[in-house]
Amino acid sequence: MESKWQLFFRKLETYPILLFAIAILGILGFFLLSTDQKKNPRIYLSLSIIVLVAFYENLAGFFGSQGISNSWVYNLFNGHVSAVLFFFLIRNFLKEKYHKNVVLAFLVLFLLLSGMLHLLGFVHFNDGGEYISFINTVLILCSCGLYFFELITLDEFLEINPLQEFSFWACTAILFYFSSSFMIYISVTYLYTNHLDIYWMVTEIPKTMAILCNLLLCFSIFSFVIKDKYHLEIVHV
Amino acid sequence: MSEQQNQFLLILFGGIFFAFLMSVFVVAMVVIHRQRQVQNRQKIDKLKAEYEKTILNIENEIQQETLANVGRELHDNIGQLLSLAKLNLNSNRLEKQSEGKESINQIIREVRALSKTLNLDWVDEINLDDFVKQQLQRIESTGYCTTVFDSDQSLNILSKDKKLVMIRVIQECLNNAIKHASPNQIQILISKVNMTSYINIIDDGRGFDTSLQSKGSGMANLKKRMETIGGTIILSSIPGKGTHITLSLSF
Repeated sequence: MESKWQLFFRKLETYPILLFAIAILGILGFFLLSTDQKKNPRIYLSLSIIVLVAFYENLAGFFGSQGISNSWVYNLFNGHVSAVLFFFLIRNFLKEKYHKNVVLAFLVLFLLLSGMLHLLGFVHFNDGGEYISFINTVLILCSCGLYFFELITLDEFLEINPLQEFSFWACTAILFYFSSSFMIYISVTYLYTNHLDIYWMVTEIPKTMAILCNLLLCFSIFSFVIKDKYHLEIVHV
Repeated sequence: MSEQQNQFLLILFGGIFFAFLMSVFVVAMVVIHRQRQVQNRQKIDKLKAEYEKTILNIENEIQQETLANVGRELHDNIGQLLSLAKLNLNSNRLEKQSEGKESINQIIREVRALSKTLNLDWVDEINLDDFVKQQLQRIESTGYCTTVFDSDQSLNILSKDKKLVMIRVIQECLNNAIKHASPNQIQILISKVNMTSYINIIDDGRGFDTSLQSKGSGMANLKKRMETIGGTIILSSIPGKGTHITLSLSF
Protein backbone atom coordinates (compact mmCIF):
# COMPACT_ATOMS: atom_id res chain seq x y z
CA MET A 1 0.00 0.00 0.00
CA GLU A 2 1.50 3.31 -1.14
CA SER A 3 1.61 6.17 1.35
CA LYS A 4 0.02 9.56 0.50
CA TRP A 5 3.42 11.08 -0.29
CA GLN A 6 4.53 8.15 -2.43
CA LEU A 7 1.32 8.54 -4.41
CA PHE A 8 1.89 12.25 -4.72
CA PHE A 9 5.47 11.90 -5.94
CA ARG A 10 4.54 9.14 -8.36
CA LYS A 11 1.86 11.29 -9.97
CA LEU A 12 3.95 14.47 -9.89
CA GLU A 13 4.13 16.15 -13.31
CA THR A 14 6.81 18.38 -14.81
CA TYR A 15 4.65 21.51 -14.41
CA PRO A 16 4.58 21.69 -10.56
CA ILE A 17 8.24 20.62 -10.42
CA LEU A 18 9.19 23.51 -12.72
CA LEU A 19 7.13 25.96 -10.67
CA PHE A 20 8.75 24.66 -7.50
CA ALA A 21 12.22 25.07 -9.03
CA ILE A 22 11.41 28.63 -10.09
CA ALA A 23 10.16 29.42 -6.58
CA ILE A 24 13.35 28.00 -5.00
CA LEU A 25 15.45 30.05 -7.46
CA GLY A 26 13.41 33.15 -6.59
CA ILE A 27 13.90 32.62 -2.84
CA LEU A 28 17.65 32.08 -3.33
CA GLY A 29 17.88 35.22 -5.46
CA PHE A 30 15.89 37.16 -2.89
CA PHE A 31 18.38 36.31 -0.14
CA LEU A 32 21.21 37.60 -2.34
CA LEU A 33 19.62 41.05 -2.47
CA SER A 34 20.40 43.98 -0.19
CA THR A 35 17.87 45.12 2.43
CA ASP A 36 16.83 48.10 0.28
CA GLN A 37 16.34 45.88 -2.77
CA LYS A 38 14.27 43.45 -0.71
CA LYS A 39 12.00 46.31 0.30
CA ASN A 40 11.22 47.08 -3.37
CA PRO A 41 7.49 46.20 -3.74
CA ARG A 42 8.09 44.83 -7.26
CA ILE A 43 10.57 42.34 -5.83
CA TYR A 44 8.59 41.06 -2.87
CA LEU A 45 5.35 40.96 -4.86
CA SER A 46 7.06 38.99 -7.66
CA LEU A 47 8.50 36.58 -5.11
CA SER A 48 5.13 36.22 -3.36
CA ILE A 49 3.48 35.36 -6.68
CA ILE A 50 6.02 32.73 -7.73
CA VAL A 51 6.07 31.12 -4.28
CA LEU A 52 2.27 31.14 -4.07
CA VAL A 53 1.81 29.62 -7.54
CA ALA A 54 4.35 26.88 -6.76
CA PHE A 55 2.64 26.23 -3.43
CA TYR A 56 -0.94 25.94 -4.67
CA GLU A 57 -0.05 23.96 -7.79
CA ASN A 58 1.78 21.41 -5.66
CA LEU A 59 -0.99 21.44 -3.04
CA ALA A 60 -3.58 20.89 -5.79
CA GLY A 61 -1.37 18.11 -7.17
CA PHE A 62 -1.24 16.51 -3.73
CA PHE A 63 -5.02 16.55 -3.31
CA GLY A 64 -5.49 15.40 -6.89
CA SER A 65 -3.15 12.46 -6.34
CA GLN A 66 -5.28 11.33 -3.36
CA GLY A 67 -8.43 11.51 -5.45
CA ILE A 68 -9.72 14.47 -3.36
CA SER A 69 -11.30 17.41 -5.16
CA ASN A 70 -8.76 20.21 -5.48
CA SER A 71 -11.05 22.85 -7.00
CA TRP A 72 -11.11 24.84 -3.76
CA VAL A 73 -7.30 25.18 -3.93
CA TYR A 74 -7.54 26.81 -7.37
CA ASN A 75 -10.58 28.88 -6.33
CA LEU A 76 -8.89 30.19 -3.22
CA PHE A 77 -5.29 30.61 -4.30
CA ASN A 78 -5.47 31.06 -8.09
CA GLY A 79 -8.85 32.79 -8.20
CA HIS A 80 -8.34 35.08 -5.23
CA VAL A 81 -4.92 35.31 -3.54
CA SER A 82 -2.77 35.38 -6.68
CA ALA A 83 -5.28 37.72 -8.38
CA VAL A 84 -4.93 40.14 -5.45
CA LEU A 85 -1.12 39.97 -5.72
CA PHE A 86 -1.30 40.64 -9.47
CA PHE A 87 -3.57 43.64 -8.79
CA PHE A 88 -1.00 45.03 -6.35
CA LEU A 89 1.87 44.37 -8.76
CA ILE A 90 0.15 46.19 -11.65
CA ARG A 91 -0.85 48.98 -9.26
CA ASN A 92 2.81 49.40 -8.39
CA PHE A 93 3.70 49.81 -12.09
CA LEU A 94 1.29 52.73 -12.51
CA LYS A 95 2.48 56.32 -12.07
CA GLU A 96 -0.73 58.31 -11.76
CA LYS A 97 -2.48 58.33 -8.39
CA TYR A 98 -5.88 58.29 -10.05
CA HIS A 99 -5.04 55.12 -11.99
CA LYS A 100 -3.64 53.50 -8.83
CA ASN A 101 -6.94 54.24 -7.12
CA VAL A 102 -8.82 52.76 -10.08
CA VAL A 103 -6.87 49.50 -9.70
CA LEU A 104 -7.57 49.53 -5.98
CA ALA A 105 -11.26 50.05 -6.81
CA PHE A 106 -11.06 47.07 -9.21
CA LEU A 107 -9.60 44.96 -6.42
CA VAL A 108 -12.30 45.99 -3.93
CA LEU A 109 -14.99 45.44 -6.59
CA PHE A 110 -13.61 41.97 -7.32
CA LEU A 111 -13.54 40.97 -3.65
CA LEU A 112 -17.03 42.39 -3.07
CA LEU A 113 -18.47 40.61 -6.10
CA SER A 114 -16.75 37.39 -5.14
CA GLY A 115 -18.00 37.67 -1.55
CA MET A 116 -21.54 38.41 -2.70
CA LEU A 117 -21.57 35.55 -5.21
CA HIS A 118 -20.33 33.14 -2.55
CA LEU A 119 -22.75 34.41 0.11
CA LEU A 120 -25.73 34.32 -2.27
CA GLY A 121 -24.80 30.81 -3.32
CA PHE A 122 -24.27 31.56 -7.03
CA VAL A 123 -20.79 30.14 -6.78
CA HIS A 124 -19.29 27.56 -4.50
CA PHE A 125 -15.70 27.26 -3.30
CA ASN A 126 -15.54 23.78 -4.76
CA ASP A 127 -16.92 24.54 -8.26
CA GLY A 128 -15.06 25.20 -11.52
CA GLY A 129 -14.55 28.90 -10.62
CA GLU A 130 -15.77 30.20 -14.00
CA TYR A 131 -17.47 33.33 -12.66
CA ILE A 132 -14.64 34.30 -10.35
CA SER A 133 -12.10 33.73 -13.15
CA PHE A 134 -14.22 35.80 -15.50
CA ILE A 135 -14.40 38.73 -13.05
CA ASN A 136 -10.75 38.75 -11.99
CA THR A 137 -9.43 38.24 -15.53
CA VAL A 138 -11.53 41.10 -16.93
CA LEU A 139 -10.45 43.44 -14.14
CA ILE A 140 -6.76 42.44 -14.37
CA LEU A 141 -6.83 42.93 -18.15
CA CYS A 142 -8.36 46.38 -17.60
CA SER A 143 -5.58 47.17 -15.12
CA CYS A 144 -2.98 46.09 -17.71
CA GLY A 145 -4.81 48.34 -20.19
CA LEU A 146 -4.32 51.24 -17.76
CA TYR A 147 -0.58 50.54 -17.69
CA PHE A 148 -0.34 50.57 -21.50
CA PHE A 149 -2.47 53.72 -21.57
CA GLU A 150 0.01 55.41 -19.23
CA LEU A 151 2.91 54.10 -21.32
CA ILE A 152 1.68 55.93 -24.42
CA THR A 153 0.33 59.07 -22.73
CA LEU A 154 2.46 60.00 -19.71
CA ASP A 155 5.60 62.09 -20.04
CA GLU A 156 7.31 60.10 -17.26
CA PHE A 157 7.48 57.12 -19.62
CA LEU A 158 9.11 59.16 -22.42
CA GLU A 159 12.58 58.80 -20.98
CA ILE A 160 12.47 55.03 -20.70
CA ASN A 161 12.95 52.26 -23.22
CA PRO A 162 9.95 49.93 -22.65
CA LEU A 163 11.92 46.94 -23.94
CA GLN A 164 14.34 47.36 -21.04
CA GLU A 165 11.66 47.98 -18.45
CA PHE A 166 10.51 45.18 -16.13
CA SER A 167 7.05 46.72 -15.72
CA PHE A 168 6.49 46.52 -19.50
CA TRP A 169 7.50 42.86 -19.76
CA ALA A 170 5.62 41.93 -16.58
CA CYS A 171 2.44 43.62 -17.84
CA THR A 172 2.86 41.94 -21.24
CA ALA A 173 3.30 38.54 -19.55
CA ILE A 174 0.27 39.13 -17.29
CA LEU A 175 -1.74 40.25 -20.31
CA PHE A 176 -0.82 37.11 -22.29
CA TYR A 177 -1.26 34.81 -19.29
CA PHE A 178 -4.70 36.08 -18.32
CA SER A 179 -6.01 36.54 -21.85
CA SER A 180 -4.84 33.08 -22.95
CA SER A 181 -6.30 31.43 -19.85
CA PHE A 182 -9.50 33.45 -20.03
CA MET A 183 -11.40 31.23 -22.45
CA ILE A 184 -10.07 28.08 -20.81
CA TYR A 185 -10.94 29.03 -17.22
CA ILE A 186 -14.49 30.10 -18.07
CA SER A 187 -15.15 26.91 -20.02
CA VAL A 188 -13.38 24.56 -17.63
CA THR A 189 -16.50 22.73 -16.35
CA TYR A 190 -17.93 22.34 -19.86
CA LEU A 191 -14.67 20.98 -21.28
CA TYR A 192 -14.05 18.72 -18.28
CA THR A 193 -17.57 17.28 -18.51
CA ASN A 194 -17.95 17.00 -22.28
CA HIS A 195 -14.50 16.96 -23.92
CA LEU A 196 -11.97 15.67 -21.44
CA ASP A 197 -9.22 15.13 -24.04
CA ILE A 198 -9.57 18.71 -25.32
CA TYR A 199 -9.59 19.91 -21.70
CA TRP A 200 -6.21 18.26 -21.06
CA MET A 201 -4.83 19.75 -24.28
CA VAL A 202 -5.94 23.31 -23.70
CA THR A 203 -4.90 23.39 -20.04
CA GLU A 204 -1.32 23.22 -21.35
CA ILE A 205 -1.74 26.82 -22.56
CA PRO A 206 -2.26 28.49 -19.13
CA LYS A 207 0.39 26.13 -17.70
CA THR A 208 2.97 27.26 -20.27
CA MET A 209 2.00 30.89 -19.80
CA ALA A 210 2.22 30.54 -16.00
CA ILE A 211 5.74 29.11 -16.29
CA LEU A 212 6.81 31.94 -18.62
CA CYS A 213 5.21 34.54 -16.35
CA ASN A 214 6.86 33.10 -13.23
CA LEU A 215 10.21 32.88 -15.00
CA LEU A 216 9.98 36.57 -15.84
CA LEU A 217 9.03 37.49 -12.27
CA CYS A 218 11.95 35.38 -11.02
CA PHE A 219 14.26 37.14 -13.49
CA SER A 220 13.26 40.50 -11.99
CA ILE A 221 14.84 39.34 -8.71
CA PHE A 222 17.98 38.16 -10.49
CA SER A 223 18.27 41.34 -12.54
CA PHE A 224 19.40 43.07 -9.33
CA VAL A 225 21.90 40.30 -8.63
CA ILE A 226 23.28 40.58 -12.20
CA LYS A 227 23.37 44.38 -11.92
CA ASP A 228 25.29 44.27 -8.64
CA LYS A 229 27.72 41.58 -9.73
CA TYR A 230 28.34 42.37 -13.41
CA HIS A 231 27.24 46.02 -13.57
CA LEU A 232 24.89 45.04 -16.33
CA GLU A 233 21.26 46.16 -16.30
CA ILE A 234 19.31 43.87 -18.61
CA VAL A 235 15.93 45.09 -17.39
CA HIS A 236 15.26 48.03 -15.14
CA VAL A 237 13.13 46.94 -12.15
CA MET B 1 -13.02 15.20 -39.88
CA SER B 2 -14.68 14.29 -36.60
CA GLU B 3 -16.56 16.84 -34.49
CA GLN B 4 -13.86 16.65 -31.83
CA GLN B 5 -11.11 17.39 -34.36
CA ASN B 6 -13.12 20.35 -35.62
CA GLN B 7 -13.51 21.69 -32.09
CA PHE B 8 -9.81 21.22 -31.45
CA LEU B 9 -8.90 23.08 -34.65
CA LEU B 10 -11.33 25.85 -33.74
CA ILE B 11 -9.77 26.27 -30.31
CA LEU B 12 -6.27 26.08 -31.81
CA PHE B 13 -6.89 28.71 -34.49
CA GLY B 14 -8.91 30.82 -32.05
CA GLY B 15 -6.00 30.71 -29.63
CA ILE B 16 -3.46 31.58 -32.34
CA PHE B 17 -5.63 34.46 -33.52
CA PHE B 18 -6.05 35.70 -29.95
CA ALA B 19 -2.30 35.51 -29.31
CA PHE B 20 -1.70 37.32 -32.60
CA LEU B 21 -4.12 40.10 -31.57
CA MET B 22 -2.38 40.47 -28.21
CA SER B 23 1.02 40.60 -29.90
CA VAL B 24 -0.21 43.26 -32.33
CA PHE B 25 -1.56 45.23 -29.37
CA VAL B 26 1.73 45.13 -27.46
CA VAL B 27 3.81 45.93 -30.57
CA ALA B 28 1.45 48.82 -31.37
CA MET B 29 1.96 50.17 -27.85
CA VAL B 30 5.76 50.05 -28.29
CA VAL B 31 5.53 51.71 -31.72
CA ILE B 32 3.26 54.49 -30.41
CA HIS B 33 5.62 54.99 -27.47
CA ARG B 34 8.61 55.24 -29.83
CA GLN B 35 6.77 57.75 -32.03
CA ARG B 36 5.98 59.86 -28.97
CA GLN B 37 9.64 59.71 -27.95
CA VAL B 38 10.72 60.92 -31.43
CA GLN B 39 8.12 63.70 -31.40
CA ASN B 40 9.17 64.72 -27.92
CA ARG B 41 12.84 64.79 -28.93
CA GLN B 42 12.00 66.98 -31.93
CA LYS B 43 9.98 69.28 -29.68
CA ILE B 44 12.85 69.55 -27.20
CA ASP B 45 15.33 70.29 -30.03
CA LYS B 46 13.01 72.97 -31.38
CA LEU B 47 12.59 74.54 -27.95
CA LYS B 48 16.34 74.43 -27.40
CA ALA B 49 16.98 76.16 -30.74
CA GLU B 50 14.32 78.75 -29.94
CA TYR B 51 15.81 79.32 -26.51
CA GLU B 52 19.30 79.80 -27.93
CA LYS B 53 17.93 82.16 -30.57
CA THR B 54 16.12 84.22 -27.94
CA ILE B 55 19.22 84.44 -25.74
CA LEU B 56 21.31 85.47 -28.76
CA ASN B 57 18.78 88.15 -29.74
CA ILE B 58 18.70 89.47 -26.21
CA GLU B 59 22.49 89.58 -26.03
CA ASN B 60 22.54 91.49 -29.32
CA GLU B 61 19.92 93.92 -28.10
CA ILE B 62 21.78 94.51 -24.84
CA GLN B 63 25.07 94.98 -26.71
CA GLN B 64 23.49 97.44 -29.12
CA GLU B 65 21.96 99.33 -26.24
CA THR B 66 25.31 99.28 -24.48
CA LEU B 67 27.05 100.65 -27.58
CA ALA B 68 24.48 103.44 -27.83
CA ASN B 69 25.02 104.15 -24.14
CA VAL B 70 28.81 104.14 -24.63
CA GLY B 71 28.43 106.57 -27.52
CA ARG B 72 26.31 108.86 -25.36
CA GLU B 73 28.74 108.61 -22.46
CA LEU B 74 31.74 109.33 -24.73
CA HIS B 75 30.02 112.34 -26.18
CA ASP B 76 28.25 113.77 -23.15
CA ASN B 77 30.51 112.79 -20.28
CA ILE B 78 34.00 111.75 -21.28
CA GLY B 79 34.16 114.23 -24.17
CA GLN B 80 33.21 117.02 -21.80
CA LEU B 81 35.70 115.87 -19.18
CA LEU B 82 38.48 115.69 -21.81
CA SER B 83 37.67 119.22 -23.01
CA LEU B 84 37.75 120.43 -19.42
CA ALA B 85 41.02 118.60 -18.78
CA LYS B 86 42.53 120.12 -21.95
CA LEU B 87 41.49 123.61 -20.87
CA ASN B 88 42.84 123.14 -17.35
CA LEU B 89 46.12 121.61 -18.49
CA ASN B 90 46.66 124.42 -21.01
CA SER B 91 46.33 126.96 -18.21
CA ASN B 92 49.46 128.35 -16.60
CA ARG B 93 47.88 128.38 -13.18
CA LEU B 94 49.01 125.52 -10.96
CA GLU B 95 45.61 124.92 -9.32
CA LYS B 96 44.03 124.63 -12.79
CA GLN B 97 46.71 122.14 -13.81
CA SER B 98 46.01 120.03 -10.71
CA GLU B 99 42.29 120.22 -11.53
CA GLY B 100 43.20 119.05 -15.03
CA LYS B 101 45.13 116.10 -13.56
CA GLU B 102 42.12 115.28 -11.37
CA SER B 103 39.93 115.44 -14.48
CA ILE B 104 42.27 112.97 -16.21
CA ASN B 105 41.97 110.64 -13.21
CA GLN B 106 38.19 110.92 -13.38
CA ILE B 107 38.29 110.20 -17.11
CA ILE B 108 40.36 107.09 -16.43
CA ARG B 109 37.78 105.93 -13.87
CA GLU B 110 34.90 106.68 -16.26
CA VAL B 111 36.59 104.85 -19.15
CA ARG B 112 37.25 101.84 -16.92
CA ALA B 113 33.62 101.78 -15.81
CA LEU B 114 32.49 102.17 -19.41
CA SER B 115 34.74 99.38 -20.66
CA LYS B 116 33.14 97.03 -18.15
CA THR B 117 29.75 97.53 -19.78
CA LEU B 118 31.06 96.55 -23.23
CA ASN B 119 30.86 92.82 -22.56
CA LEU B 120 28.07 90.97 -20.78
CA ASP B 121 30.11 90.06 -17.72
CA TRP B 122 28.21 92.64 -15.71
CA VAL B 123 25.14 90.41 -16.00
CA ASP B 124 27.00 87.77 -13.98
CA GLU B 125 28.03 90.28 -11.34
CA ILE B 126 24.70 91.99 -10.81
CA ASN B 127 21.62 90.37 -9.27
CA LEU B 128 18.12 91.08 -10.51
CA ASP B 129 17.18 93.19 -7.48
CA ASP B 130 20.19 95.47 -7.97
CA PHE B 131 19.45 95.78 -11.66
CA VAL B 132 15.82 96.76 -11.02
CA LYS B 133 16.95 99.23 -8.34
CA GLN B 134 19.42 100.81 -10.83
CA GLN B 135 16.73 101.11 -13.49
CA LEU B 136 14.25 102.70 -11.08
CA GLN B 137 16.90 105.09 -9.73
CA ARG B 138 17.72 106.12 -13.28
CA ILE B 139 14.04 106.88 -13.94
CA GLU B 140 13.67 108.73 -10.67
CA SER B 141 16.86 110.75 -11.26
CA THR B 142 15.37 112.19 -14.43
CA GLY B 143 12.46 113.46 -12.33
CA TYR B 144 10.04 111.74 -14.67
CA CYS B 145 8.11 109.92 -11.94
CA THR B 146 8.50 108.40 -8.51
CA THR B 147 9.28 104.71 -8.05
CA VAL B 148 8.67 102.04 -5.43
CA PHE B 149 10.64 98.81 -5.12
CA ASP B 150 10.05 95.88 -2.82
CA SER B 151 11.59 92.42 -3.06
CA ASP B 152 11.94 89.23 -1.05
CA GLN B 153 15.17 88.54 -3.02
CA SER B 154 13.73 85.31 -4.38
CA LEU B 155 14.99 86.05 -7.90
CA ASN B 156 18.59 86.69 -6.96
CA ILE B 157 19.61 83.12 -7.71
CA LEU B 158 18.74 83.13 -11.42
CA SER B 159 21.13 81.67 -13.99
CA LYS B 160 22.77 84.10 -16.43
CA ASP B 161 20.48 83.20 -19.35
CA LYS B 162 17.29 83.54 -17.32
CA LYS B 163 18.58 86.77 -15.80
CA LEU B 164 19.31 88.16 -19.29
CA VAL B 165 15.75 87.43 -20.41
CA MET B 166 14.24 88.88 -17.23
CA ILE B 167 16.42 92.01 -17.56
CA ARG B 168 15.25 92.58 -21.14
CA VAL B 169 11.60 91.95 -20.29
CA ILE B 170 11.69 94.31 -17.29
CA GLN B 171 13.52 96.94 -19.35
CA GLU B 172 10.91 96.64 -22.09
CA CYS B 173 8.04 96.94 -19.60
CA LEU B 174 9.61 100.03 -18.04
CA ASN B 175 10.30 101.57 -21.47
CA ASN B 176 6.66 100.99 -22.44
CA ALA B 177 5.44 102.61 -19.22
CA ILE B 178 7.63 105.67 -19.77
CA LYS B 179 6.89 105.90 -23.48
CA HIS B 180 3.13 105.40 -23.47
CA ALA B 181 1.67 105.70 -19.96
CA SER B 182 3.06 108.96 -18.47
CA PRO B 183 2.72 107.61 -14.95
CA ASN B 184 3.24 109.47 -11.68
CA GLN B 185 4.53 106.32 -10.03
CA ILE B 186 6.00 102.98 -11.11
CA GLN B 187 6.10 100.10 -8.63
CA ILE B 188 8.07 96.89 -8.95
CA LEU B 189 7.26 94.21 -6.40
CA ILE B 190 9.05 90.85 -6.32
CA SER B 191 7.65 88.01 -4.23
CA LYS B 192 7.63 84.22 -4.12
CA VAL B 193 4.55 82.11 -3.50
CA ASN B 194 5.13 78.35 -3.20
CA MET B 195 7.56 77.52 -5.99
CA THR B 196 6.76 80.49 -8.22
CA SER B 197 8.32 83.95 -8.16
CA TYR B 198 6.24 86.91 -9.28
CA ILE B 199 7.39 90.32 -10.51
CA ASN B 200 4.58 92.86 -10.47
CA ILE B 201 5.22 95.98 -12.52
CA ILE B 202 2.49 98.49 -11.73
CA ASP B 203 2.08 102.00 -13.07
CA ASP B 204 -0.68 104.53 -12.44
CA GLY B 205 -0.45 105.96 -15.94
CA ARG B 206 -2.87 106.26 -18.82
CA GLY B 207 -3.67 102.60 -19.17
CA PHE B 208 -5.33 101.18 -22.26
CA ASP B 209 -8.12 98.94 -23.43
CA THR B 210 -6.65 95.42 -23.52
CA SER B 211 -9.49 94.16 -25.70
CA LEU B 212 -8.21 96.29 -28.61
CA GLN B 213 -5.70 94.49 -30.78
CA SER B 214 -2.20 95.93 -30.53
CA LYS B 215 -0.50 97.10 -33.75
CA GLY B 216 3.00 96.15 -32.60
CA SER B 217 4.52 92.81 -31.71
CA GLY B 218 6.02 93.94 -28.39
CA MET B 219 3.67 92.03 -26.11
CA ALA B 220 3.89 88.87 -28.24
CA ASN B 221 7.70 89.09 -28.08
CA LEU B 222 7.67 89.51 -24.31
CA LYS B 223 5.32 86.55 -23.96
CA LYS B 224 7.52 84.38 -26.18
CA ARG B 225 10.64 85.39 -24.28
CA MET B 226 9.07 84.54 -20.95
CA GLU B 227 7.93 81.19 -22.33
CA THR B 228 11.48 80.28 -23.40
CA ILE B 229 12.60 80.39 -19.77
CA GLY B 230 9.45 78.64 -18.53
CA GLY B 231 7.71 81.79 -17.35
CA THR B 232 4.52 83.66 -18.14
CA ILE B 233 3.42 87.25 -18.53
CA ILE B 234 -0.04 88.53 -17.67
CA LEU B 235 -1.09 92.07 -18.50
CA SER B 236 -4.13 93.88 -17.19
CA SER B 237 -4.98 97.49 -17.80
CA ILE B 238 -7.93 99.85 -17.49
CA PRO B 239 -7.99 103.15 -19.42
CA GLY B 240 -7.18 105.94 -16.97
CA LYS B 241 -6.30 103.58 -14.15
CA GLY B 242 -2.87 102.31 -15.10
CA THR B 243 -1.34 99.02 -16.10
CA HIS B 244 -0.40 95.95 -14.11
CA ILE B 245 2.04 93.42 -15.55
CA THR B 246 2.77 90.17 -13.72
CA LEU B 247 5.79 88.13 -14.72
CA SER B 248 5.91 84.70 -13.15
CA LEU B 249 8.72 82.20 -13.13
CA SER B 250 8.44 78.73 -11.63
CA PHE B 251 11.37 76.86 -10.09
